[in-house]
Formats: sequence, C-alpha cells, structure tokens
Amino acid sequence: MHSHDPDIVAALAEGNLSPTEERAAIARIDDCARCSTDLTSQRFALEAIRSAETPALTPEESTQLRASIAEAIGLPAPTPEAERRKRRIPWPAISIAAASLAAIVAVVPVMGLLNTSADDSGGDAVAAIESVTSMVPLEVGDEFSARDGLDAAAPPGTEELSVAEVAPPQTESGGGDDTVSSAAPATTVNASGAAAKMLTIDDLQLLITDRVLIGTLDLSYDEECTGIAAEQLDGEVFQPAGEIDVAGVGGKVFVIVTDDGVIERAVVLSISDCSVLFTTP
Amino acid sequence: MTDRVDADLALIERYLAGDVDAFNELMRAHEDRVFGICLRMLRDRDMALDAVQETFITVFRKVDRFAGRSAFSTWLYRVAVNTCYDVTRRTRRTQADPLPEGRDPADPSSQDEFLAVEVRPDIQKALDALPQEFKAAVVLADLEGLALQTVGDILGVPVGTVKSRVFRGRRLLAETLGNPTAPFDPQRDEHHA
Repeated sequence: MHSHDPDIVAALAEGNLSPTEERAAIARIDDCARCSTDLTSQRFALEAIRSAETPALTPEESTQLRASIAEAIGLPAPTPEAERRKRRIPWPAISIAAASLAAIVAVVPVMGLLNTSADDSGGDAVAAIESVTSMVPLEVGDEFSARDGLDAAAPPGTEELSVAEVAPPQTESGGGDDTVSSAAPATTVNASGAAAKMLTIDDLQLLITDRVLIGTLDLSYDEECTGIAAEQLDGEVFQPAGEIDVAGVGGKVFVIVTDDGVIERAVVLSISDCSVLFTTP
Repeated sequence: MTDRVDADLALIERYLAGDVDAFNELMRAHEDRVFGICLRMLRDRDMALDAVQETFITVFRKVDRFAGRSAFSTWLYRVAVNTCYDVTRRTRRTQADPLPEGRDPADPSSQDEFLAVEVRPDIQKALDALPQEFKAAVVLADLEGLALQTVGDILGVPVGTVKSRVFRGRRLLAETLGNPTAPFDPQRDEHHA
C-alpha cells in the first residue's frame, strides 16, 4: 500500500518525466485514491494555466514607463520604442535607369542612427542619480542584508527570529504529557537568557505571511513529522512552514491556515523525533 | 539562462559607467516579464503599470549595490513581488472583485491598450481567489515558468515550501475553475505511516 506523495503527483501532472520514470511514478501511486484525486486537479489547473496568454506591454506603455523611470532616476528620456523601431534601418533606394545604358541599377543602403540617446550627457545624468531614500522590505538572509555592509534596515517585525527560544508549555495534567495546548502565549527566552518577547500565534502568523525566514535549513518533505502534525492539527498539512528553536531544541512549525492565509492552528514538532514541543488551541 | 545572467551583469556595469543605452536594454530585457508578474498578481492594468514603475525605480536606484551573487532577474522579480504585496496591502483589495463592467474577454487582436493580451478573465479570477503566497508561487512557477529554486530565491523560502504552495495553489485553482473532483476525505484516503 502506497502513501500519498505530492512530489510524484506533481511530477506526473507536469508531464516532464521520461517514459521509464512515468511508469515508475504511476506504479507508485497506483493504489492511492488521494493521489488520483490530486493528479486530476493538478492536471486540470495546469491545463488552464498553460492556456493563458502572456501579458505584454504595448509600445506606448513601454515608452511611457521608461520615460517615467528615467525621469525618476535622473536619466534623459529614452527614445520612444515605436520611433526607435521606425528609425532603425531606413532604406532609400537609388535606382538609375538609363535607356541608353544597359539597365544598371544600384541600391545603396544608408544606415540611420540606431539610437540617438547615447550622447555625452549620459555620464552626468548617471552621476546625478539620487541616493536611496526608500527601502524595499528585503528578506533576511539575502545578499543585501547587513552582513554585506549594506544599510538595509529591516522593517519592524521582519527580523530573523531563529534565535528566539520558546519555553515548553506548562502541562495541565500528569507528567509526560507533552501534547497539552498552550492557551496563553509562551514566554520566549533568547540565547543570553534575557526575556525577549512573547511568542504568540500572531507572531507565527507574522513570520509566515510576512515572508520572514524562520530557519535556514532545507525544509524537505518530512513524511513522519507531517503525519504526526496532521493528527495533532486534525487537518491536512503538507510541509513545515518553518523552523524555530524551542528551549534549545530545533522545532518544525506546521500550521493550518484559512484560504486567506490566516493561521487557525499551529504545532511545533521536534526536528529530531517529531515529538510535540508546542501547540496552539 | 547563463547568457542572460552574464548579459545583465555587463549591462549593469555599462549603466553604472554612465551608458544610458544600457538602461534601455535592461528595460527591454525584463519589462514584459515584470509586467506579467505584476498584472497577474494585481489583476488591474493601471495598478500593474504603477507597480512595474515602482519596481524598476527601486532597482535602478540600488543597482550599485548589486553584488552579482544571484541573478539580476532573481533580485528584480523579488522586488516586483514585494512591490505587489505592498500595493495589495495599501489598496486592501478583496480577492473576489468582479471585472469592471463593459470589459469583454481579452481579444489578442484588439488595439485597445486596456484589452491587449491579458490573462483570461476566468483564470485571473481564480488566481485572485488564492492566498497571496500561493498566487505568487503559481504565477512565478507555472505562469512565468521559473525554476522552483529560482522561485524560492525570489520568495525567500525553501524549495520545499515553493513546491507546497504551487501544489496547493493549483488545487485551489482547480476547485475555483470547477474541476469536478471529489474533495480529499481523510477518513477514506490513506494516511502516512
């Protein structure tokens, strides 16, 4: 009996497998009803997507766009796209027909200017580019982070929280029960021992929906932990949403979200043995 | 892909050295794709154009800091996606807004700039119904055809997360578009060991 493997289902739906690989994949999901259901929906969606046309700018939009951008960054207005195409290769034909001469015709191509914007003022314009005054919310860990010496100040709430440590929830009944949900926010303690901040479901929401990297490890598909998370959360889970430290123990975060991306329930499982470290109601 | 990466680096060097033509060439190489991403994320053409403008202004203002450790396009598309997220937050659009009245299905032969080459309304509507992070993953991976690793770099998430978002996004798309598939029943179907 085969278990559900989304990777195989996706690969089959995308149709990029070799014949041998495809046969093996089909055999793998042969008696998995859920796989069959998913395969149908994946193929349906992909077919619809592939039938969609590719958006493109009109020449006028492109011209206006470049002019606006050029003005904003201190460059001279670029040549309109339509005019650039028109002026690229003018071909005046010169023909000499002489009844008295043996019909000799010469065509002399004259190459016009390809682009008239390359003038000497380009260098001055670039030198006048204003310094950055607005910041794009950059992801922690990308090449523009502080470690590169760039002054990319992260917006509030987007700091990498991998150093945050969550104290285990207080058990309400007998010892050894590590599945008790924590109704109240857990106290977090950072590496230095000082109280840092309270970790709540809102914090998990912020971490996940604001695209902050919780951890840096590759969150490959984990069948065992995912299965346990699904049981704990009483719903379908697919992948860990990220990782955090729970009192020095690495934990994988699994969440159930609404269609709007709001976290309804969350559980944190130990990376090493998938035991429950933290749950929310 | 490598040729494009190298070409972009060369253009950036030329641009920073004062070559205005390099600006035009960089725009020409990337503006359509950035526009495609923004239009699919935002649905509204005017909003998409504004987002494209904002994206390129940001990028050209900061390009002197680009170290070249990732592809220029990866950075550019990340800025585009983030810009679209910000626009969405600012405007607080609902995901089920109907198209404006009088707007017919896209006609590729139309000369009207507002109708020229758009995503089919039904697919766009289905995309709009997706959670933002699923929509971004589907747009980048399936509609733009970017590699999963590249999508992960753009979105700042691991490849596994990209796979998950794409998979779930497609599933939701199928449901919205009317795929007559029975929903997953945990009582009936298999579980993990």
